[in-house]
Amino acid sequence: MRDDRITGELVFDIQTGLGRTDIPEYDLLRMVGMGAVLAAHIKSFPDIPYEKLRLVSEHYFNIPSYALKGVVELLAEVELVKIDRTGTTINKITPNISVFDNVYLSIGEYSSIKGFNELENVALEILFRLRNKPENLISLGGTLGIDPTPLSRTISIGEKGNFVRKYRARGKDIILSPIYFADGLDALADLAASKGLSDFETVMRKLKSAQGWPLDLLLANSKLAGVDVSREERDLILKLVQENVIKPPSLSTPSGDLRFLFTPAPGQGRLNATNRLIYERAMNLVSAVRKGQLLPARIRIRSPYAILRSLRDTGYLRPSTEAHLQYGTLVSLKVAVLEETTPGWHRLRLVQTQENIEAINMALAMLRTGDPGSIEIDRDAVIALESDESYVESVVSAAQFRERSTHVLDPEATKIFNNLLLESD
Amino acid sequence: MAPKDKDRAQKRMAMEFCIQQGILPYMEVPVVEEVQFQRTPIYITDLDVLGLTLSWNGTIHRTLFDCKTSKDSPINRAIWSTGIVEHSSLDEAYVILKRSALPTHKVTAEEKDIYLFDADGFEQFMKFHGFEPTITTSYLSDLVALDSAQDFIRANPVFSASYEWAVQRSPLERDSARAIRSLLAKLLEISGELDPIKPAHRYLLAEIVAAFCLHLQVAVSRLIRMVGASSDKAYLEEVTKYYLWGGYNNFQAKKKMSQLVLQLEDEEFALPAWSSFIKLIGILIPSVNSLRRVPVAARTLGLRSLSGVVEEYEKYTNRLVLGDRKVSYVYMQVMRYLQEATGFPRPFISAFDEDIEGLGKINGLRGST
Repeated sequence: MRDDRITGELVFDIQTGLGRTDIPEYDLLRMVGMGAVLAAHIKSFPDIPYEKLRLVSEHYFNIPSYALKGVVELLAEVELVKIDRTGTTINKITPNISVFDNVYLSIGEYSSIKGFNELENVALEILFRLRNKPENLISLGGTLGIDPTPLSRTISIGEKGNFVRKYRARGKDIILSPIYFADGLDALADLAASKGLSDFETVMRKLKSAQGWPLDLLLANSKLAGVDVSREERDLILKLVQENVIKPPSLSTPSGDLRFLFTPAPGQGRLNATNRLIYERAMNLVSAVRKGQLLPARIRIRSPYAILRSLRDTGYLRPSTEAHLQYGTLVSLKVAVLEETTPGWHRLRLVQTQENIEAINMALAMLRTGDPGSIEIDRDAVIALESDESYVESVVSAAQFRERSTHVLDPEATKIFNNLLLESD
Repeated sequence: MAPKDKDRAQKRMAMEFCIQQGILPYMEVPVVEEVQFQRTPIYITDLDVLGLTLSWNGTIHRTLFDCKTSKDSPINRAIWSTGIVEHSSLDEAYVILKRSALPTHKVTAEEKDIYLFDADGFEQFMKFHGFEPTITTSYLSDLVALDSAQDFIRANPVFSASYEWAVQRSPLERDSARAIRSLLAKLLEISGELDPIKPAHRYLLAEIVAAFCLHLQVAVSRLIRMVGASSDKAYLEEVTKYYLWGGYNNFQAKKKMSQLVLQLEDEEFALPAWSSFIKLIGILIPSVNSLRRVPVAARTLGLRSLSGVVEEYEKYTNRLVLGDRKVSYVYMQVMRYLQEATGFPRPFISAFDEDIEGLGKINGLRGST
């Protein structure tokens, strides 16, 4: 069942995917989508001059300047911002969003009142399904009772907007969303076509509640955080690992490499390059403390959560004889350094950077809720909003040069062209 | 062309003869005009059975077995065969007729590498070469299995272009570099349709792999000669690249086209999964003798998937696949490269692996080879 909060998240994802692509059939969806993107990035911000907001929105959020006014007024209507204006000119906006507010819920509620058109509803329903797993296109159309014309139009928009991807696997059309899955998409589509994903949602739920669980431990006792895992579920997890859908970080120990299980990483739309780096560090932080918790050499970590919080708050972990075995990967990722206090005893010291602090916060969120938190936030955009206008102008003008050389080709056309080249004399 | 025509007994015998002689046989290969001036392909004739002898040096010797139960004049048929041998660049033809040819006509025909037999004479000729023509020993000479392959293609036209390339065009193709590229392209086109749990799909994939290996053995033999004693990987890569694209100028032209259209970087133009292809070539160079045996083994295993296990054929299949342990190794290496390059479902690899493992277990020979 799709609630208002999820609707708010979905419109965010669709807007992020579509960027500046104009879809004539979409009306409310684009406005609330832009509203969700903007609102999510200005949480707890002080006043933002409208001119700076215009530049940042255009460049980072793909909100055209002619649409921004409408978006800001929409946010004012749902009381997420206050507008300061002189006549019809907007001078600045004042965000009215505390850290405890859920902007997606507000946007979703507003959308429910206004109501989406048929094609918008189809896009939301499809993406809602694809959050969980890939689907057979024909079966999904039948299950949701969508007519072939809006169905195929939505898939075509989704492919253009990079929020749906269609695969041909085992003679079936399989759709999945690259927003929610980043790796091993071909294999995932193939598994869906072979009906190999019947346990997928259960497996994802179990993995989510045991982020960073050692793979060896699962293989040894068929449990994830105390929850039984059936043989079919275990085989599916192994298959997902083999096919790179799940990419478990590994930790080298004298007795061999250990691998740690996480839910699949989200794709580009939800996790940009900067956040991906932080996400990877967070996974390695969780893996390191899980090793100490579940597979210690001598001394067991009682609370991985407390250990990470201590590292964040004090910048250190107490010296131990196992630190060099447990935290080697964190050193190579420049998250922390190991300092020998007495022979054989090492103390872990956090490298104090903004990214590392965020990685620890993300790791803590993963341990607590299974969810990495607000990974969809573009940190570069937040920095731009915090900076003065001249910085934003320099970023935008540099990017304009890059934009001129970008050239995107339809993957199907590329495939056909490559095949023609292969076959020609 | 008709699947159940009157020459079938002779065709089966010719297929069987090929198998016994280590010749790779293809039945009913259509000859189509290469350069067309109409929209539809111009079909000239069918080659009843085309046998390919793969030589140690990478050359392919092509033999036509022309089976005719009609009462054609032997010399007329011989002259017709001379024409088709020349047109399709074949090396020789065995013409099996209802009527006996006059010795003079036989001698005249043999000067053109055309050998005239009547049905009894051909049977006797086969017996002299040491086999019993009435017995079927392989899936490849089992006409029921071959018919079911054709029935499958007729019912699934999405596969016809790739099947035609693998089974009908590839045996006659003289340009192995082009064949390698085209087979890759055909497999890329259908990779999303292939389902490893369907035996007919496994059969089709095996035929494509067989055709790929057929031309790969020509390519590898040539590359061995071109590279000589050099063990420089970069040199091998460069030579392979130019060979596959028909020379330096052609390669540069295609690269330029690709860069203009797809906006590729300078070094990106290559066959799909290029580094794996080069690695494969490195594996195949010291295994070229085994590579030569892969096409017949692959086709046999493919038909075995399609028709199910037939006890009488297992002895031959076992010898073919497990007699040289490198055959199955090379086959699976090529299969892995093609999977990476074209993205057909990975479970095909385990399915073929299991077929080979199963063959060893049934016959208990796996460990002894």
